[in-house]
Amino acid sequence: MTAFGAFFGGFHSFFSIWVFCLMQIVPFIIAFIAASTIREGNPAPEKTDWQPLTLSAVSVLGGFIAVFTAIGMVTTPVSKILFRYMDLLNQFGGVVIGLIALYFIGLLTLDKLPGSKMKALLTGFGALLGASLAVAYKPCVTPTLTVIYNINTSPDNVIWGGILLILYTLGISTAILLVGVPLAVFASKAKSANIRLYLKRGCGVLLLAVALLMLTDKMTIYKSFLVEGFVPAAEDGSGHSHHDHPAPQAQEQAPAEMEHTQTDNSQHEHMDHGK
Amino acid sequence: MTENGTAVTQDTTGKAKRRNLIILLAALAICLNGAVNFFESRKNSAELIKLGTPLPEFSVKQADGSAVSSASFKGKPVIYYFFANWCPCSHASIGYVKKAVADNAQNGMALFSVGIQDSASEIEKFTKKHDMASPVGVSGGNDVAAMLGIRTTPTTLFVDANGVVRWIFIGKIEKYEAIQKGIDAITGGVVG
Repeated sequence: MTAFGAFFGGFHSFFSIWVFCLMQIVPFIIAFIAASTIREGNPAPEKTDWQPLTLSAVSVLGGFIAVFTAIGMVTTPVSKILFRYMDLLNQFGGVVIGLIALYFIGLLTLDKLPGSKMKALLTGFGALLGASLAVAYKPCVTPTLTVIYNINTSPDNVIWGGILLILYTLGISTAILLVGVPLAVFASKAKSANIRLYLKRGCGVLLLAVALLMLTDKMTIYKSFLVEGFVPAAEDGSGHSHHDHPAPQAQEQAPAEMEHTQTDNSQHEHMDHGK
Repeated sequence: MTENGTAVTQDTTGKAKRRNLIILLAALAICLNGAVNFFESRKNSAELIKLGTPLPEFSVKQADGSAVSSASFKGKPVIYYFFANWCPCSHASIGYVKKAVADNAQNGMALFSVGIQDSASEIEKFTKKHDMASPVGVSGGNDVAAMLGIRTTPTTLFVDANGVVRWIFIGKIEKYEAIQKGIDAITGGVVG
């Protein structure tokens, strides 16, 4: 697995059948970026305010990348702690996202803050939201992620495995930005103040929905709905097909990638036999 | 007009502050409730799986209500298969796992499957579809997954006769050769 392979694997997953699995996080990240960019009231903005858009995008994706990578580096103490307190973090994350949602809906109000404090608050909100979504996200093991996860199961590969996870999530993040930024810009340029208000509140409602899913521990039901409903069924290893559709991973799997998985497993064996 | 306007603004501000306080108190209550529930259950207190170390013991319930424990497999090489019915990769991989167990029957290899991230009825559908005769945990799997640090399906563990985790494969098994080294690691390379 090369660095570019990890980045491209993440990027490509957004434009493949796996996007349905990514729908566990994508709408909510874009909703946050859009809601942070939309300005309420009149007059309508003549041009896009790039500062809140950039701050919100960098902070939410930064928080997501940091925590997703930390969880995925399964042989490190940080990952063990995150796993141990996953249920608790999921609850706290739900509360954090819920509060952000209520802020965008307009039910939770803040006194007028000076620009610098508002920027700090936005950045903090974004980082917490991204981190919370990383905790709630139950990733599908795409072909690339299969290789990266299997590299990460060996303590010998901890640094390289972590770098690959960062690059993989950077690839996903780049794809999210490609779609999310134009949507946020489009929403923020609406001429009517009412439309901008409804769009912002709509983003808040979307975030409230994911907060409720997290608080009620129903994210896996949402994931199963997405995957079962939209990702084609696969053949089992005996060659019996349960549906007529080809297996999505079989379509995407590059032979070289599986070679790497086997190589990585060989490393495990050497390590184990050495013990 | 100014006096009235000020009064209205103060009233609005007062209402907003009360609403903020109620929301923040509710958030605090949810956090406290979550923390109390978590520390009461302490369900994630065991060690996570690690290559070269013993698999922590766990128990799950089968479809007939009986409990099955990992401890009952001691002395046998075991493949532990964590799956979900909605997961296409779980369906795609199970055939290879069953073949591995069948090929190594003379080595005493056993299969212990655990459904996670799914309801018991959905997990039962998976077991019927794949005609699984070996023990399958249909409930309690999520707690086990959290305890072991398993987050994705399918995850396949290869555990030797001493109960030591010798191999972990995360994700879809594309071909039998992909798990051959895991099989060898727990059978000593002797084909049953």
